[in-house]
Amino acid sequence: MPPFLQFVIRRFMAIPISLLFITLVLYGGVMLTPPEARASLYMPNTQRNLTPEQIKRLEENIIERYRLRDPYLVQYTLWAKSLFEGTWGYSPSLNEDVLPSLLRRTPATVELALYSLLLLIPLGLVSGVAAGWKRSGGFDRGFRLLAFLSTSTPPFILAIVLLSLFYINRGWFAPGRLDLSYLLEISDGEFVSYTGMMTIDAFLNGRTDILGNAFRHLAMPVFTLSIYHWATLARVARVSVLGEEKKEYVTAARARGIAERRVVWKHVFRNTLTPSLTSMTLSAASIVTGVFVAEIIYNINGISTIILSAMSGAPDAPAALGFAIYSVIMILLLMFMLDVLQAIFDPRVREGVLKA
Amino acid sequence: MSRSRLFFRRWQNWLGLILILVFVFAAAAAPYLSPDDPKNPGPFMRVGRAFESRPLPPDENAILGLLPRGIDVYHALVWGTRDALRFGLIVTISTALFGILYGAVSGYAAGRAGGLMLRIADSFLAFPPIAGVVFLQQLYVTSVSSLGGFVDPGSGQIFSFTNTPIAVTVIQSLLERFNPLMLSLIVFSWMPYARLVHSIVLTLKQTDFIQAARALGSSPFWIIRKHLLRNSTGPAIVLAARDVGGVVLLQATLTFIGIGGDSVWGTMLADGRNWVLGPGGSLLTYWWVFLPPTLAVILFGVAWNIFGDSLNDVLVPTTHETFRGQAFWNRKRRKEETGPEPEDQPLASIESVLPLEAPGPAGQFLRSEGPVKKNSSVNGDDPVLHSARDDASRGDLPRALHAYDYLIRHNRLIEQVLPDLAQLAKKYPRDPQVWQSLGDALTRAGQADHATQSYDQARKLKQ
Repeated sequence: MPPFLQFVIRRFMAIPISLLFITLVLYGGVMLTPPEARASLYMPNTQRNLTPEQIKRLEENIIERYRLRDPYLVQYTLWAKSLFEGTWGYSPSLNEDVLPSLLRRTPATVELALYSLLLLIPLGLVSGVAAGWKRSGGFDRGFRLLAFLSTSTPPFILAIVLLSLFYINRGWFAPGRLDLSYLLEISDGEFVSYTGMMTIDAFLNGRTDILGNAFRHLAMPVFTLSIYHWATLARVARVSVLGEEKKEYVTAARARGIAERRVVWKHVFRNTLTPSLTSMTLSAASIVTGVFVAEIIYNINGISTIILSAMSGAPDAPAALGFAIYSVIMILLLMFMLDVLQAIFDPRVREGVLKA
Repeated sequence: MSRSRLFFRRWQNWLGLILILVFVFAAAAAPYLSPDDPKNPGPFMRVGRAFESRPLPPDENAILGLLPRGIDVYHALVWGTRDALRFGLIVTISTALFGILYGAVSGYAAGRAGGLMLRIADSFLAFPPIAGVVFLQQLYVTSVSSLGGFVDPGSGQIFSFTNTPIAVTVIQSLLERFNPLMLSLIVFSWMPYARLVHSIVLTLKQTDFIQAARALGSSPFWIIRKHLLRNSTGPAIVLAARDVGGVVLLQATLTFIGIGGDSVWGTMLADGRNWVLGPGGSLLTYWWVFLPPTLAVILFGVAWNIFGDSLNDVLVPTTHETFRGQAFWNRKRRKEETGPEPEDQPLASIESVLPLEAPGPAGQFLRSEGPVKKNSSVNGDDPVLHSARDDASRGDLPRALHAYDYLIRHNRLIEQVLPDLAQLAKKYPRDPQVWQSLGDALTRAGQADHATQSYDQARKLKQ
């Protein structure tokens, strides 16, 4: 097996382990509630037609079957098993099973996250390296000011400002995923939904008007998300470049007569990738939280819709727990992808990990 | 450069400090700046009419205008500061304390146990606090409803219990004190501290003074408490200062989008949202519903960020001195412990015991007038000597002397111990133990005359 594949597989195996620790803690939280409340995690989608006595009996049945009065580990094992088999419980506020409802909303979330990352990672790395290489130059000063402004503006306030200026006043961009007319057209026509991501589907269907419209709706949330995390990433990239100019490999490269541009973008750039992408991996949770916040503010029907409905209606523990686990899985996958990306670009990561 | 000069060298550091002092002042003096309505205390004070649906501009009753339903903006702003500061500090201090301890223990344990602890901490990094908030709140609501009650989603009040079960009362009082967001943040945001301290401790463990402490048989708890924690808290404090702003920002964000967290500033923005983003709204028409809380949130974040940066200048190791934070506290403590020395000492001075003309390294050292050199030559040094010097530089005289005595007993490195002890005797002229040890060292060095004088000095001081 090629060493790179080995690394990828080994890194992938870390995901279930992390998930195990987190679910242990989450179920520990569930354990604080009485058994009757825990039973709601397994309640099927039939309670509406049942009398209170029947619900009571059903509850007792569930407590018996999933051994909800037994010790923690027994309950946890049965619950973890049900995660693999079942539909993660029935959510009364969504009037739907949790897992299908999460899966259906995933493409919208992924689309938003994907475009933001595609924008912010290259931009952050390049601008950070350029600023750090010519320290205290004109570009560096402008960069530092912009990065400071970006990190000090909370995304939700930036969102208010953007919405007010470009949606209310100018009408250039809009919240939501598509204009209403297009949404209606999509729901009842020849438009085939391949991936659930509007831009890609529109492209595959050859509908440039929908494509343009989808991008117009994506513009503000993507900008809101990218600008904040761009600054964080670019700052790390900048700092990691600062000492590099005096390093011997740069001198050696120059001595060999390599063009300055190539020295920076071929040699120095690669050395800054590891710290920059590591810092991103560590803040993956905050990036995904940012995605959820942007979804809610810009009214995009992604997976965070679920918590909004859970918070406003009847008690809905299955939705809350399902959302927690699902978002953890998303973050773990994001971390995994960033690590693989790092390994692709930085041979040292591959070597180092493989030697260990 | 001294600590304070390092701090005040840059104007940004001034700015951060001043902003923070303003916020602290507003928080502390909130009851004087804007007295509560005794009938209905709380950050949201009704000044205007309750049925007024439009936000009214500033007038003499409300200097920053009113939110819809007649809520005073100024009052909410001031009490919101108190709320934000309290929230930020409680969350940050608890997470930092736990994270630092966790990191120190996992770093010290190393090996398999340390690896497992780090793995667990890393797993927690993948948990978004927003999910924790919803989860905790739903757990609470579900358990209340399973016991036959009902929680109003708007106000959070419980209905339809004839006798509230004790379990519910306990959870309720817990949630009143720590809101779900606070709990969720405390449980799921200590990992950066743990990672940071873990890595510092791993590096520190390789240094000679920790090795020496272990060789001398210090217990792990002593080493963690006395050496490792002291040396690794500087960077963690910097992280914590930056976190205070971040935590409050997250709280305001979640409150704004309606997930909970009870941030006063976030609630203000959510209440005024329709007047900015509604039909015909704009940022400036009803500026008083948007600008004051926005500026408060932004400035709060900026203040703690800059403050963190300036603490970084002061506390975090730089190239020319490892572990500056440590040095700072050392210097402070040294000053407290030694204090000013009385002028009219009837005692012999160190020069009379070890004359300046003394040949060899001892005399040379005395003439140089330098302070006891700290970490002067980390590499290649004897670990015990290093530990002794480290303790001495920290002002921990008994431990330092303990280590020096060990060296003297084993007749090791006397030529280096001698000047060190002479220096210590100069610094602590009233401590008989120092003179005793100096006498021992001089005896080993074969300078019997000076040794006798030193012992005399010790005896005199003991009386």
